[in-house]
Amino acid sequence: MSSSTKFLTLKTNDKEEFVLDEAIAIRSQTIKNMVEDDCVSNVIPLPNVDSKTMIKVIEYWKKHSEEGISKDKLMDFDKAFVKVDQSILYALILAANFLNDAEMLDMICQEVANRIKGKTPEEIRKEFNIENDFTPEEEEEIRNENVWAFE
Amino acid sequence: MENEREEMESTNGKSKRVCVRVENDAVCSTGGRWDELSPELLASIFVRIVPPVLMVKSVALVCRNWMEIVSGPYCWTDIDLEQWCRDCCVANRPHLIDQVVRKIVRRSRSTFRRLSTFRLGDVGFSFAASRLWVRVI
Repeated sequence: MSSSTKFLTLKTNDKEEFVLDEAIAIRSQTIKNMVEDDCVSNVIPLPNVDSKTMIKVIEYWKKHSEEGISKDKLMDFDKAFVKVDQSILYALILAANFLNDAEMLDMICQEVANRIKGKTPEEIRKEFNIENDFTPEEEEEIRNENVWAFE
Repeated sequence: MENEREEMESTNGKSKRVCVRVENDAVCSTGGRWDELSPELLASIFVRIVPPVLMVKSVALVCRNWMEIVSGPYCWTDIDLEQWCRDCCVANRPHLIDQVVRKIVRRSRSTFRRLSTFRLGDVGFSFAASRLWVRVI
């Protein structure tokens, strides 16, 4: 009995509950610390994560915990995993940061960096829905300040 | 008015779904506030845009917050300007190297742990060394 699988219940900020194998859930350093410090009651609240995002996170954790899965298969999975709208990437970055999953955070940061790379500032603003809050004078000033990079 | 109704419903605990839908819509319509992400997270994205010349070129002109991050210490704990220095030499402008290395070292506010350059002059070298907390062995 003592060696049986332990389950944790994770509760997202929209009050959804996810029951998950503890061995998988402790991919989150945040949850791992809670378990190790023995401050886990019945339900672990995740106030910074919504259920839609948690479903993606769990999908990632389960795939990466599969026994005997090949590196190639994982790479394919990861590639497909980050092929989502920037609004989902944004939620995933916040979740990975809060859950303290360095591996997932690295992967998502890399994906965002890849989307920025090679684009003009205007293209980047469009992709990430960012407003240009510079005056033309300020833009000129930044260009001058960074002339070594722009030349 | 619409928001008020939904808030009331959610506090009654009957229509939690309504509240959730509204929250998700809010995220989707703004697409996440990429300009307001924490400096640490933005920096950990930006430092993956290499070489740093490309990082500065891409990021500095996007919005004020991004510009501030790329101008601050978060993005400059590992300063790799070697390729840029080499390009400078090829373009016959080695005099820029000291100037720019000093500028970037200043940006790191003495938090940099590694500095890679090429043909750095004595002045630039002593400037960088004087700002390095850890002794170079």
